[in-house]
Amino acid sequence: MSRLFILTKNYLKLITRSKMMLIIIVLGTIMVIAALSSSFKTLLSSAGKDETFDIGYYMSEDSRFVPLEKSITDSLASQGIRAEQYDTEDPDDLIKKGDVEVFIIFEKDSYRIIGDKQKQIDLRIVQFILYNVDRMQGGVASDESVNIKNGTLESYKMPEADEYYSIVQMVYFLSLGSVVLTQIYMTERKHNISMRFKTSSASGVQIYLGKYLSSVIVSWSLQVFLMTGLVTLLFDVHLGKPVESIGILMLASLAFCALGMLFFTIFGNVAVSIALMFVILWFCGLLGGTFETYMYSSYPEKLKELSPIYYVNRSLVELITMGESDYLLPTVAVMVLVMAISIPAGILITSRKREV
Amino acid sequence: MDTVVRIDGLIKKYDNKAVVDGLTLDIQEGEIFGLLGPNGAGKSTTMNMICSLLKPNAGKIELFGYDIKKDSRKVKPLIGYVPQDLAIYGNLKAWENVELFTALYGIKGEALKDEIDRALEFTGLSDKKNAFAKTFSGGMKRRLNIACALGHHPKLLIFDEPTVGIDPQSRNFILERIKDINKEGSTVIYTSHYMEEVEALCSRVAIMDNGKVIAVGTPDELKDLVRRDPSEDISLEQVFLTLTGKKLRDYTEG
Repeated sequence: MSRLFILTKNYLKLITRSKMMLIIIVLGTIMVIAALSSSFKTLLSSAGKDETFDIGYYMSEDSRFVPLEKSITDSLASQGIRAEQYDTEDPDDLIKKGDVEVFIIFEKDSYRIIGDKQKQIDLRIVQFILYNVDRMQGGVASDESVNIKNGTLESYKMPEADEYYSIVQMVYFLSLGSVVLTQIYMTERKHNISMRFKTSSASGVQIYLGKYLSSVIVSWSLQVFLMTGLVTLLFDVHLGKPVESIGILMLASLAFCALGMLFFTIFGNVAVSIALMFVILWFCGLLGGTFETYMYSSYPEKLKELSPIYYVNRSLVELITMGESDYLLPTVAVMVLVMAISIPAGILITSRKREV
Repeated sequence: MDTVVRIDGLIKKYDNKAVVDGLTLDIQEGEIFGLLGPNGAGKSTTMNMICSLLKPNAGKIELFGYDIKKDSRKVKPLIGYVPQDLAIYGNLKAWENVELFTALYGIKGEALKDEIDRALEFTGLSDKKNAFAKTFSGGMKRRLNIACALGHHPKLLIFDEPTVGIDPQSRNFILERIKDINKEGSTVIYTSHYMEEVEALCSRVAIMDNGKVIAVGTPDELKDLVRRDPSEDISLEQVFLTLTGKKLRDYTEG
């Protein structure tokens, strides 16, 4: 324990004395979060102004839907759909000109929904709302007090750009947490310090854990706790459930530090290790949502689930938006799996390298 | 005297070329044993194999009666290695470097503090214990490099060219300290290209060439090997050049 404590303590000193690396880690994350969230917030707000969904409808005088007309339009409005009544039963011109996206014709006992084939989703949404209204036709659907709650589409709060980019960039920089060891590995290689470890009676486990624990302590301090505080302070982003969210971040830090160290232990060359680590984690980030346009994923779910970063991003974003996440357990499982592979492999390679 | 190092039929090959070729050598307890040879003679490879940094292709090394292959856990605490490279962290203070490398041998608590002070005192760095190693002069770095190998009281100290590139004062200081280490009971293996150093320091010297020991003995015994006239005043360098030749030895590792 004493050997491990002194190794960890001195590695921590080496890491914290490399000020530039620490500044890059903290400021880099903050700057990327600020740049991305700001630009996407602007983009969304300008796009949001023109985002209206207009539909038209014709109500036959003898339609059984007449008593529900107000409830229907209110229900549609609650979903951001503006419904306007027209006196025509031929909506083709209106749709072609783009005056309305969808047109509903309420006939005596039924209704028809007309719209462009390209807008299947819009048509289904309107159909879903009307279906729920129609279901309540018997019994309660007789006056204006009808509550068409069942027709309200279930939806969750969308994360704000600030929240989304704070999470994904924190997680991405966290995945690169082991870079704090770069200076140590470079010094050890340049001055052939590893020969002192090889000739000593310290075990491979102690030598590995000394580096691993020091990188984890720095990553927890700066990338989990300090960064959470800064993000809260600067961007007013609050983690959904703080205990669960910080727990996930700490676990991810343990896993990513172990994964990063695996590159350093496999390849003696620091430049090669860093380059490979960046390439692989960049792809993991790409699939995991780090670089995607805000909330618009273009990768199949199966592909995304290959990225450990995806699990962490998803569970943290869901904790913010829904207060819970079905991805918590899979995230824990994936992080434990990454550790279960990386730590024994790292220890084995370190031990092998110091054997004659 | 007990045999501290026993090397028997040691072979190390790179690409089928023997760098150390059937080396057999004994080093006795209390000796300062000099290992000389031109570049590429195989002396560093031999030292690396003694320190368990390299695996021999054949042969056997025993240190203090232990087979280094089978009993490496018992052997390692008995060895202190001072590499030719300045194997220290520039961003750690002098005492922190000594602490780290001494703790690797399981020394802890008050004993560790005492050993740090002793090693720094011994190498004349006590007043610089709180200075960062990167701020040290070449000579101070060399001394710190030595201090880092002393904390665990090794019985066998191996110095690989410890005086390369330093001023005469620092060199003299280091040589005097090596003599003191030896007087305290440690056996020393020493390599250098400075013949006068080896002559002044070593009780016995082996000259290696092409992976083999071509001569071994006290400096005087080696001089007798090449001396034609008993009254002839001859230096160890002349012995070295006579035995290994004057042809340039350019080589690449591996």
